[in-house]
Amino acid sequence: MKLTSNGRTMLLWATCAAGCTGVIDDGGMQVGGADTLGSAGVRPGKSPPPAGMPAGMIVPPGPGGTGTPSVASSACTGPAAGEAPLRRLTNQQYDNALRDLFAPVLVGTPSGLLSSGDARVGPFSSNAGVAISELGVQDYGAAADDVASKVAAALTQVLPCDPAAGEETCARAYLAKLGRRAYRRTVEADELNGLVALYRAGRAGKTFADGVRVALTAVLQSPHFLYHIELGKPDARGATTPLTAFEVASRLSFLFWNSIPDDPLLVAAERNGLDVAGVEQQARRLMASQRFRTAIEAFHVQWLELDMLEQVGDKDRKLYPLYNPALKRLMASELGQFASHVILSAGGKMETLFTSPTTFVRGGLASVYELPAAPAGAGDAWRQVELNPAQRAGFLTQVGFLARTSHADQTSPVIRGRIVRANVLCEPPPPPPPGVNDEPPGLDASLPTRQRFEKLAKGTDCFACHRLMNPIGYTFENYDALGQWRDTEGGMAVDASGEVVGSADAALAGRIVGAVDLGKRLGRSQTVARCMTTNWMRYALARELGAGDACSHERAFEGFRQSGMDVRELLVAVVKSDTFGNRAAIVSGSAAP
Amino acid sequence: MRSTAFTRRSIIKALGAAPVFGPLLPLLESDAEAAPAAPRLIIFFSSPGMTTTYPNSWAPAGADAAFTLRPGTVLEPLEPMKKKLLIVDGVDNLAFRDSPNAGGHPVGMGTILTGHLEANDKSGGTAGWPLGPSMDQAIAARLGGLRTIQLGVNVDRDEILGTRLCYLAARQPLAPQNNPAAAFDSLFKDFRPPTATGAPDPEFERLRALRKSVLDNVRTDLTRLRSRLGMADQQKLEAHLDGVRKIEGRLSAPIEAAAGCASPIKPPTGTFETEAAVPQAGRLQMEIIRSALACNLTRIMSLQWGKAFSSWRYGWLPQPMPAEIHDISHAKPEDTVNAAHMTRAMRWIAEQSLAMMQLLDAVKEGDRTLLDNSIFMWCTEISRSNSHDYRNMPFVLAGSGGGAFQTGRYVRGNGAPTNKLYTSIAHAMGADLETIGDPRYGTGRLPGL
Repeated sequence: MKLTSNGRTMLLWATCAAGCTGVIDDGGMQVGGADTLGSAGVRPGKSPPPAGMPAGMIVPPGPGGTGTPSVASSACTGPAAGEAPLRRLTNQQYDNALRDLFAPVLVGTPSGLLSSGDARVGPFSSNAGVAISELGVQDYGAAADDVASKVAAALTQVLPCDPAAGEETCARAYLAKLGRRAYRRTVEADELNGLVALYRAGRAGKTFADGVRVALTAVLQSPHFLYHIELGKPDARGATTPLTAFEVASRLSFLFWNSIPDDPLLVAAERNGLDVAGVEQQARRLMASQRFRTAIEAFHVQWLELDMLEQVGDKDRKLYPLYNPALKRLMASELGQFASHVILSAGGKMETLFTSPTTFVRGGLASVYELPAAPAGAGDAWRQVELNPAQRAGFLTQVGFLARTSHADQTSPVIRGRIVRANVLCEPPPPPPPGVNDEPPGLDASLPTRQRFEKLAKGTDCFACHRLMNPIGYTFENYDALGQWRDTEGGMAVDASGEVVGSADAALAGRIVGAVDLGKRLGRSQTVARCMTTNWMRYALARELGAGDACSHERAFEGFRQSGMDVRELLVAVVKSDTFGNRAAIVSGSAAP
Repeated sequence: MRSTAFTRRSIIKALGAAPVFGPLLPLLESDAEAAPAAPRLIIFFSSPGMTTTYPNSWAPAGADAAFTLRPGTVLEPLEPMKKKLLIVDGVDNLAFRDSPNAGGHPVGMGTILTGHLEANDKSGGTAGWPLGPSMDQAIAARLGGLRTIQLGVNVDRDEILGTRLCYLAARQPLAPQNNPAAAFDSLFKDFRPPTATGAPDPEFERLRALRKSVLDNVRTDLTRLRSRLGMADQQKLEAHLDGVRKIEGRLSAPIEAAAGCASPIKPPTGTFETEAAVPQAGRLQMEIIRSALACNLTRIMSLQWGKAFSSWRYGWLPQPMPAEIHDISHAKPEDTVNAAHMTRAMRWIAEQSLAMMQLLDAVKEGDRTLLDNSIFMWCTEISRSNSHDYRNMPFVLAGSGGGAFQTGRYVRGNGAPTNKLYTSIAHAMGADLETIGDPRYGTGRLPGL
């Protein structure tokens, strides 16, 4: 299989990689921090690393990285699939799974007892790359004790049988039923016997509920509950292994609902009903549910890194009096509601995500958009509103993205441009080289933001890379660091013209004025559509894509394109792809002693 | 805090009730008292850097034994412990300089205790995970796999570089425990309380046996699953199995208590994870550290005050910070107003260091104190805050590790890598490692400690 990359883009990246030793403002996690006081701190000189040290390597976009794998469809013959790494449930999945296992008796978020949050794959939560620590094991034990005690105290609400008619029979029936859902497959006889033995040990001298409680703590600490386990069918031969029906059911359920499969999905798996047609049918069923909103929200919030809002510093309240820290949560929620609205109720088209002036506001968000307060008696509920289409179009013009990509006291055309380039176009610029000053320009009332950033990069080596980002970021200059519209900055007219330098995509060619124009272009862009395919696949598979995913990616993109870029059809194409229903065969290591 | 004293005799009585410990009793009673206490290591971490004018407003005046903690500086609050201090600067974090994606606080965080380069990827969020263990873990491994405890105060839970100070091995971050009540449980739950008659409490024994049975079951699941996985996944499951085995081991063999061992009463459960609760949570965690070390439950502990690029506003001070401390830390050196704010905040951390030292110093161990038998080390992820400097990193050590270090001094490293300082600490701990961190930065100890 031959992988190709866009030659022109590659060349630009190579040029960019060769330079870049000056001033960079790569806020990343530190948005709103580094520069707040306008420091021009002096960097320590960069001395060469000791012999044998690797220099900062720059990886151009491409397969295996965050770029989009590209391959001619004709080259795809036979199934090919990528890895399926063992990974712990994310904390959100853990909470959702426990909620679904023990409805209606369990409320709250048991993951609050875990010391650790989630690691990431790109912008998406995934624990594929990290191992659990001793403290993590201990935490799962403490959380299992806590959950099992709560369930044991309300056992009659979850039991499928009456213990008065035979305690051990009832315990066995409940543990089999619960285990099937917790492990997302039929519980094997010896596993069930082990759980019943624990029930007996806990029951001895105590109550029925005590016995069940002890067995539950074992279910909730089992790797079969805590991990995504995708071993594939046992007798498979060759480089690609089909997943079992239960494994496919889990993939579907965690993709669309971020939780364990429901009973109809498990039944479909038991009846071997998850062939390609069955998978599509289940995917459409899961997408028709309101629970799909959770996945839409999680995907978009992580994709645009709005989950980092909590990490981002507060805005300078002297400059932005409408700001308060509670807005951060509202902003992330706004994006989730908007994306859910577009995908579930407004036609589902990718273009709409980039062009719709509709959004959802509540509380302080309304004032940031200069909307009147909620009508009397409406309370403080979310409400759907239409914004001025000359100023707002799509999620990149919503306050969440605009505020997240700004500093405390000024916007950052660099960060705005970088996130569009890396996350929306899948053309990540290389990271700044070590030792550069990553502080943005100091505040200067005599110059608009754009000119201060231009001055910083101009004539330096940095420009080689920054021209890939900054001119995209300039198109957002009509929005201040809180995301409020502005025609002028410090009395000077805003210049929001820019371009997507070095793109081969006709939809993105030429001068672009303002983010509404940019959104129109992005919404029609095949580069963006391919990137969205890449990102939904990363989200669905919880790992980076590799060469084994290239054909699946191409076919998923084809399905997306043929539907006129309907996100729901993209997801149907993803779940029908080879890499979703298969895995690269396990190269068994010698078992540790 | 009210304490339940655990005398050596009561512990041994309780232990003696379990037949397996019977033969060990004479040994415990005759030899344990005489054995010198093994050195302990306590790591304190605070962020972001020390001062905006570093080393000004931080460094002592004078040198070696003739140093003074200047009035108004960050270290002034440590004056009462001056004789037991070993202040070290002039060591460089070269792994920070040489890591890919270097520049920001997260990279400082991933390299400060490891001395290892970070992976050239984004596995840790903004940059890659470090490619080796942190010094505490390297020491613990060399000493035969000692148990270590990572505690935190208001540390974000996200598993990313900026929140993770300690690493078990390459790419294996260790989250700190922020919750004092949970930290207490994990350390003291398996401590057998003595009963009036000396006989074991049957309910305590029953629950312990049940927990062990549950873990047996979990271990069976893990072991079976492991054999079906590929190499990389086997390693992930091995880490899980290792955790289960260690917890099981503690259930089987309660730890011998040391002189001066006193179990604190369980801290109240509640939300101690907010920024507002930092002083209270910090105090509770420090008391847990004191008790756990005094009781020999572990020899290596860390207390991480927040994440890298700390966003605290120090709302508990009479005059809180006017902005997040990370923002303030980026003031230019000539900005005297913000320099004073930053120094005030770090003086508060120095006061916490002093409190930790005093808690340890109050525990007598023979003719020394627990502090004397320990090495306390306060560190941060960058030196001068406004330039993210990796050079001339500040360290405040206290305690001599049982006489290994000569305290009451201010020592300069003259550009040596942090790795050498850590190798010295390893030797003081009894771990004869040639080096800590990336060996390409040289081997051996920092002279003059």
